[in-house]
Amino acid sequence: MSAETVNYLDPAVLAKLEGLQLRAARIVEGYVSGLHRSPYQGFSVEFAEHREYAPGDDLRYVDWKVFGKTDKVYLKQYEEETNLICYLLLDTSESMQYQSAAAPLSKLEYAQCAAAALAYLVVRQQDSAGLVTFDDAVRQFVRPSSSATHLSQMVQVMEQTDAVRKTRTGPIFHELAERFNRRGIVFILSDLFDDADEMLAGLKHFRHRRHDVVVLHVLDPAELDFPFQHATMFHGMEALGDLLVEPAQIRKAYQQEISRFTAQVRTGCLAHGADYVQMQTDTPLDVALSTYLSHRRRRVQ
Amino acid sequence: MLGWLAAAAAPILIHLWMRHTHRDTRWAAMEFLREAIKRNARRLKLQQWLLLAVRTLLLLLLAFAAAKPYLSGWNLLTGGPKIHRVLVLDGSMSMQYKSGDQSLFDRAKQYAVKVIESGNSVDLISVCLLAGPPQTIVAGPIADARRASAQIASLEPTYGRGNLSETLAVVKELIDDSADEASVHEVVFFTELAAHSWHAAIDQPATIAQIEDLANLAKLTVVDVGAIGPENVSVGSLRLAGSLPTTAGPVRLECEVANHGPSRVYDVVVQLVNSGVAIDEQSISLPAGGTTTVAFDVQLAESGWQTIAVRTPSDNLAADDVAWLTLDVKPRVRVLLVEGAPGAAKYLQHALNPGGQTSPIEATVIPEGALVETPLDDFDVVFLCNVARITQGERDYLHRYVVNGGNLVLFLGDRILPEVYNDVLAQQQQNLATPPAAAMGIGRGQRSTNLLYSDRAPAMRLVKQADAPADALLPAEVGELRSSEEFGLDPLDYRHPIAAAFRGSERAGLLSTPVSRYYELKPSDAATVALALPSGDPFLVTAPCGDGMVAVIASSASLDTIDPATVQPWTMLPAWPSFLPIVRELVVFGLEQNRDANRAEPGMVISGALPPTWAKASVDLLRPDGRVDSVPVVRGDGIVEWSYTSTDLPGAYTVLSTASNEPLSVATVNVPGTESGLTRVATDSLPDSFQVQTTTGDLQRTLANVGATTDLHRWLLYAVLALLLIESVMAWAFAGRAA
Repeated sequence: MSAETVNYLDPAVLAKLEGLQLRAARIVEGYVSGLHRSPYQGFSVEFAEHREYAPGDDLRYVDWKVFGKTDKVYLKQYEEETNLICYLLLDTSESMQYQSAAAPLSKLEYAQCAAAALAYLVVRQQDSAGLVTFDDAVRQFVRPSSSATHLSQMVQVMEQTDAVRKTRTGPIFHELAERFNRRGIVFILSDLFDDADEMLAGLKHFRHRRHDVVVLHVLDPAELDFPFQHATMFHGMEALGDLLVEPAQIRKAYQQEISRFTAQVRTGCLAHGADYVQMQTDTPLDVALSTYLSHRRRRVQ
Repeated sequence: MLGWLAAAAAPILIHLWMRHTHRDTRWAAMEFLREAIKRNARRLKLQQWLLLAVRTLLLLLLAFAAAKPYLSGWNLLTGGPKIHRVLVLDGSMSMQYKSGDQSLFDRAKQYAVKVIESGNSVDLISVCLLAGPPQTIVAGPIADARRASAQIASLEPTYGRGNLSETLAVVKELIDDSADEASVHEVVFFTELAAHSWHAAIDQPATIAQIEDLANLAKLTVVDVGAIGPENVSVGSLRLAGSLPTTAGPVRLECEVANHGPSRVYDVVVQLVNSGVAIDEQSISLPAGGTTTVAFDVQLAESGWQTIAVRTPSDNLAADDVAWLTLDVKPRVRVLLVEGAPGAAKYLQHALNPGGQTSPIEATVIPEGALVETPLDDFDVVFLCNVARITQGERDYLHRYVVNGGNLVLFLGDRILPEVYNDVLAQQQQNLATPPAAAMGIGRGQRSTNLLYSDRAPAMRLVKQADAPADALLPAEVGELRSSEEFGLDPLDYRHPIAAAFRGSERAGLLSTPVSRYYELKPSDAATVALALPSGDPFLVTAPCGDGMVAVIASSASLDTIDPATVQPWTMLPAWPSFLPIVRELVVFGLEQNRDANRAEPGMVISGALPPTWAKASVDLLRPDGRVDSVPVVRGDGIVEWSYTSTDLPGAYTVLSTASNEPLSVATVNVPGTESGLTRVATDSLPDSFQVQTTTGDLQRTLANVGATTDLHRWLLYAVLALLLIESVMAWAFAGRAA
């Protein structure tokens, strides 16, 4: 257990992210400050100093008490804090347990690492991170927080998954969209092996609630390449039955099917304003996060 | 076969087995897999069936091709009738010719075995040897190819002739015997097409008719295994040239050396060998196709049986590089002169023994009454001079002597009673003195061989019926007494050996010999006229009789026989210079005839007489290969005789005395001179019934043209290869490309 914990917060993994962290921090800060006004009203604001009014300044920040005492117009100067809330939606259904021979991690392990790394990144930036694990229902819900102890709590929750149930993304996304009463970035870490239309409808709901949505589509490389050579009995996870297949004969057709699915998801995400990043479990995590950050940066720009 | 059929089911078994020998894995993206299968279900199923069909067909074809011997047995491949194939291997001596490292006969065997192997398993096979007489190796017919091949592999070429006509007759018998077992027949000859064997197919109407008759029954094929431009030097016809085999004087031996090759040969060393030791040699050169007579003069120091050989250096046909001759060398040749009247043999005695003890001939004169009391076996020639009558006892006595190898010469005269001569001497008594071997149906000089192998027929003897030996002691019927006004004798172109001695020696007086009174002679069929009178009437007539020779002279041997009309001798011959050569040549001729009886060709029966006192039931016979065979003795009417049929090798066959192991008699067997000639008949001159295949080209092509062997299995294998290619492409297209 401790070893897996170390894995989730592997300093080596995070050390790789260190270089990116500075960039990420700038991206996040820029994302917030570049908007000139925080889109996220209601975040905590601490007073820093006063300065004289200049034409064009927002009259809402005039300190009327000082004006009453000194007859001078000063504006309240605030020390801004990042106010990002990051919701990490981790799919813990049975299908996420798949791990091919060529992959170092199962999809679930990979998604856990990615979620933990993101959470760590977020918390280190004094932002708030929340965690939701789900399969056919919401299993755990950790409210967003930016405390260091909160991170440990999220890691612990992630470890407590049994991953034996089916996936039902659509209803769950709808439910969570209602439950997330504060806007933020919703990271969805899942293989999305569910009805694509329902899932996209759920994403749309998130967007309707003005969340930013980033879909981290976690797939095993074997699920894309279908590299099997010999006759194989495929035992379906999530109680989907068995199939005896001569892989060579079906490979092309399967690849067409999975491509069609990923294309549908990608197109749907883009259509609803969500970011889509396909992550294969044999690619390094830093690459995955870097890919995300670069996506994010392009979006900010 | 069942194994191959099981192999054909392999794809199905593999398909079923695959369902149990797959790999297992858990799988998350099951919906997409299921959807992919669903979308391609029909295509996948079609592909699988196609692959299964191709693989099954591939193995089935392979099984059919591999199981050709079995399937052909069911006529599934050929669809044709069962074929009876008669393989005729030329076993004549000339097939021993070595071309490269292989003799022609070995090449013939090789091709015969290949033909058997390339045939179908149900084909029936008979094998026979083209020889003289032909030998049936596998009478069969049998379907056991392995057995037939083994029989062929064990064959050895003979040293004899090849008799095509007799062989064709045997082949026809084999076909007739198998008519119920097969409806299609093929006869395949493996031969060098030597002219001495095959000329009959070109110029003998009877043989041509045989071939046409056979062609109506069977397909005839000739596989030509002959050599190109064969070279051969042979030696043969070793003989005593006009001299008597005695120690009293030198003897002249002659032989013929022939070059049968296309180019001149130089420095051919011809050696004379006596009892295994070379005693003389000559070096000769011969033009292409040339023949020369080589003569040796030797002094034989010891009496008794001696085996003489002449040999040339071994060449590609070694069998004819040695010629054999056996001589019963005596200190002097003994002749018995029986006088019908005192002095009737006086001139004859002087002519035969002019030099007293130094003459090679010792003449003994007895009166006619002493004939039956004189042991004739001590004498080589018996002369009857003007003996009036011959009793039946005397006739039998003389007949037994002649049949056993003696020589009888009859000089007529004024005392003889022609009707008695004709009644007694000319009679043929089959039961009286017929040699035992002849009684068995095998006479001297006849051929005998055993049926070497027969699948169902019992062993039998194939005997060629030779001309029946003359039993009559009188070679010509004695007719009326005639007179002649003209002098001289007609040598009849010197054809007879006795007359041949006078060729080129006209001064010997033969042509001027006066004969005024003589008996008309009417020669029998077996007789030969050596000399004739100017009127054309025979004067000297000879004929073989048993192992011996009989001769009759139409006139007297004495000047004492006077013609009452002219008061002159019947003939001046006894005083004429030609008398001495004539009588001496008569002796030589008689002894040569006797030797000829002991010179046979391979395959002929040799026989000989034994002393009447011989008590044992058999004699030991030493063969040329060193083997000693025990030969049964046949007795009959005072004659004790042995005969031997297994004269398969050339050389000396020696009958050994049991007591001293000394030779009692020696017979030599020489290869036939005709077999040395390697001239081939032109293939286009053979009857059209023959299909001729040469072996100078590709063996497979030759074999493909022989018989009706099917090459369907080869096409099956081609189909297998094509299917292998198709299967690979299909598998790649169905699976590999998708991958």
